[in-house]
Amino acid sequence: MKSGRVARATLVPAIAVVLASAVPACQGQISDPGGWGGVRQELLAPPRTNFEQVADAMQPHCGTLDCHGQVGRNMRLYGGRGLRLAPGTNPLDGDTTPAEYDATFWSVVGLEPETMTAVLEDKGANPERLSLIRKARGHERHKGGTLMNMGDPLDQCLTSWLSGAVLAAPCQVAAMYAAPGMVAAP
Amino acid sequence: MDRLRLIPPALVLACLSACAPAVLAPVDPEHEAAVEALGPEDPTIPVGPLHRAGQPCMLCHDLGEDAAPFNIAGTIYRDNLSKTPLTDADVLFVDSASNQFTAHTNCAGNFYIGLESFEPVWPFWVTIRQGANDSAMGSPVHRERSCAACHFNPAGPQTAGQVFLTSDDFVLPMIPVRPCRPDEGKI
Repeated sequence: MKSGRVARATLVPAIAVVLASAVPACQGQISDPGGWGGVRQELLAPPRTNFEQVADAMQPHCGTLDCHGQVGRNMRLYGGRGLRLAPGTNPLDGDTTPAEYDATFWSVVGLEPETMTAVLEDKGANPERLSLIRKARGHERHKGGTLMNMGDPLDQCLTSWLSGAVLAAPCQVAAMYAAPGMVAAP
Repeated sequence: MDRLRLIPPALVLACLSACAPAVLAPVDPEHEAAVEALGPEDPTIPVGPLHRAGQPCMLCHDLGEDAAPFNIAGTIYRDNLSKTPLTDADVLFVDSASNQFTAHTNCAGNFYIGLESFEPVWPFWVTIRQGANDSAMGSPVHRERSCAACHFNPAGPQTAGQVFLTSDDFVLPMIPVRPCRPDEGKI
């Protein structure tokens, strides 16, 4: 998939479905039910190209089975040693598959599509507008605690992706997350 | 007449005393259901260190529960297919602050770490070792204190199955297995 602007045909209907499903729960709170002007007509997504490096970096920090490697999560991360996508597979069954990278990509991109668009329009500036970054930095309540500080390899990896060009080196360092004094298996 | 006057306050007191436990210790229906789903004790195994192998220990052994509180606990099996416990194994923990701790499995394959023994700086990494054989967990543990919360059978997209030392048929015969001694399992 090409990076950059995502076709309206892909994301706008998906968001419409989500919003429509939320209407019954919000009845009585919507002052202007016809006012859908808040929904953007075009949404942006970070590059899918090289997202594998970002997903591999996130996997040991965020995607373990006791955290976001669970089907009940909004941000649902798939991958080797974590949640698997295909029935009949399990976490021990080898590396992350292309389909799992895709699923993880859409899960992360779809968390806050409007805010994601705003961040991307600003070329990744002020990424803390995204809960993805706030929670990982520990600046918003997060059961998993603080996973990265500003400038850490994982932080560099994620924010570089949001700015449009994935920095491979910090992503690789973050992906090799291992016990102190140990070297992670590739 | 006096007795009749006392009835309403007595009823109020009775209601308050009946409701107090629920107010002071509110019931978590999800937790209650999870504990209920564990089923009854195996009558052949005394309640204690050998009981409920393979179940998520911390459901009942967490802080605030009736059972003795643990920090981390679980059950380890010799291989991925059988229910043969991995006995007398070391369970090595290294946390993100480089603290280390070693727990040991008993004859049921159970191990547990008491509150005073080791509180990890999360996340932590785990390696199982028995004799010359060891196996390191492929990912860190970020939040979960019960092995069985993530490691349950059958293996599938959401779980690697029970915790085991090896699936290597060549290694398996070299892993000793022993029955429980009469003195084991005492609280």
